[in-house]
Parts: sequence; C-alpha cells; structure tokens
Amino acid sequence: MLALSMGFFSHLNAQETALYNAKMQLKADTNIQLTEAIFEDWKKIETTMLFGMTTQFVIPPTYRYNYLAFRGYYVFTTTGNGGFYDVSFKPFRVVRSEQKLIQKEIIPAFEAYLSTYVAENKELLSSLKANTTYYLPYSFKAVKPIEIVDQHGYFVPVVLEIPKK
Amino acid sequence: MLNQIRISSFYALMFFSCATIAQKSTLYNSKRQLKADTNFTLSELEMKEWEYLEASFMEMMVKNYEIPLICVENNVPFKGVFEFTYNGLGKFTLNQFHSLKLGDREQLLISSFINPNFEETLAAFAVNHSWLIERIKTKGLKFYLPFGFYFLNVEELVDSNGYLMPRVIQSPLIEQRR
Repeated sequence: MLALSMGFFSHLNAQETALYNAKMQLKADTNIQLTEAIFEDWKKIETTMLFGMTTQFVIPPTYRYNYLAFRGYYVFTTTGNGGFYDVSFKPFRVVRSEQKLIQKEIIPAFEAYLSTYVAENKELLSSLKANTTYYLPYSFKAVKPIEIVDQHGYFVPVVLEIPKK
Repeated sequence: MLNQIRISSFYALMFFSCATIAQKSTLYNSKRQLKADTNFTLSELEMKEWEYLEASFMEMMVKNYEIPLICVENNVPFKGVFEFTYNGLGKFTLNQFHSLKLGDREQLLISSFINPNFEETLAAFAVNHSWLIERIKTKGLKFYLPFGFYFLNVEELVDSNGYLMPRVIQSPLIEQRR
C-alpha cells in the first residue's frame, strides 16, 4: 500500500515536459516510459537538446531537398562520462527502402550533432547516470516563404529564445 | 446581351490577369506597393525584376541573415524595411533601414548590427545567385525588403503528436522544378 501510494504521489510530482507527459511517457509513443530517475536526468537536458536540434542539427540533404517523410525518434544511450553511444533511429513508418538512408544519413547527422552538443555541454552531461537510454522524436515541416510573412506584410522568421542552462 | 457577356468576360479576364500579377509577389501588392508600407512603391521595371528575385531573397534571408546575438540574448525583436539598390553589375548596396522605433538604442543596434549583417547577406546573395542577377543590366534599381524577427520558446516547436518539428523553408528552386 505504501509502495502504491508512493508510486501514485511520484506520478503527481512528475512534471510534464515538451516531449514527455506527466506519466513520464513519450508523447509521440506512450509505449515508451522513463523511470523517475532517468526522467529527472532527461529534464536537465531536454530544452538545450531541442534548441540545438533546431539551430545546429543539419537535416540530411536527401531529406532536406526532397522533403521526404522524416518522422520518428532517435534513441541514444549515455556513457556516464559526458558522452553518448549506440545511436539509432526508429522511423514512424517502417519503409524498407528507407533503411539505407537511415543508416547512411539520418543516424550520422544525429551523431554529428551529438558530438557538438557534448562538446558544448560537458558539465551538464557529466552529471547524467551511465547506460540510460533517451528518446528524441524528430521531424521537420517545410514551409513556403509566404508562410513566413506576417499579417502586416513583413517577412518575419522565427528566432528561438536561448534556453537557460 | 452578347456585348454585356463580352464586357463581363473582359473584366473577368482583366481581374484574373491582375490577380495573377498580384500573386507573383508575396511582399508587394498589385499596385507594386509594399504591403507592409504602401509608401514604398516600385517602378514597373523594378517590379518585374523583383518578381524574379523575391523567393530567392527570402530564402537567403532565412538561411544567411545573422540575427544579431545582442538582440537574441536580450530578447529584442526588430521590424523594419531594408532599402537597397542594384548597380547593374551584380552588386547590391544597402541605402538604409527604415524602422518605426528609432530611439538612440535602436539607432545604435541598426548601425552596428542590423545593417552590417544585411550587407553581408546582400554580398552573399550576389555571389550565390550570380546566375540569377547577371541578366539585370539596368543601373540604380531600388528594392525594399520588409524584415523582422520575433522570439519563440523551443517547446513551441513540438507538435501535437509530441514531435520536435522545426520549420524549414522550401527552396524556391524546388518550387520551380515542381
């Protein structure tokens, strides 16, 4: 009973994030659920990770220039000394012909991004527990230039607020 | 009656033509006025050339214009109209940035960051799009580009399905190819 109560209250305490709901499940796929300890670690890095994915991650050219479907989530594991390993990508739809592109472009693009992220966030990452797996759902939306013009006729691209570390 | 139909068809055709012309530009209306500020008007020739350049210019601004870090770090949004001239030999020159708010602080930001960064973008555009502009031989064509930026929290880019979904501007070349 005590354990049940603790579990109940721990759920109440867990805060929803941009990618995870209050039950610590990935919003994009609720089959994936983090433990509280891992979730606490993830919360430390989520905002900076999303910021970097928007400003530094280089969308693979095959996808960028052809607007192919690119929806799924990255899976990666912490080394415990400020790094990551075992990067994979789980596509939203499993299309066999895309497997090669995933191996050749999608995963290397994320690995390249991670190496930059690791270099810039050493202190933050060194506090993460070792051998824990994280999930990052990612996609992108192609918009026409006209969609970036506001109602007053100004061309107004969006700039991201710098997250507080 | 037949005449009336013909006249109606004529007006319909005229309207359609005007609408088609107007659709060519995202930033200018059918009177060649800047939608953001109708005080800025292009000549017919300027408008014709601008229509070729507009989509590429907008893509270039998204990819190359460096939003001043001082504005990003202090959450200072900006809005105004860049006025620039083409010299007929593949080079653009910034004349001025027209902005509504012009206090001392804004003037300093404009002269130190907003304008130099735009000049860099103009130079990069002239190099990367030389194939597009080298056909323009007329000297002194003046163009206006309304531009601004606002700030968004990264969490706002996560869609309703829980995916991080940044916006990527479509390349005008791909649009033309389709």
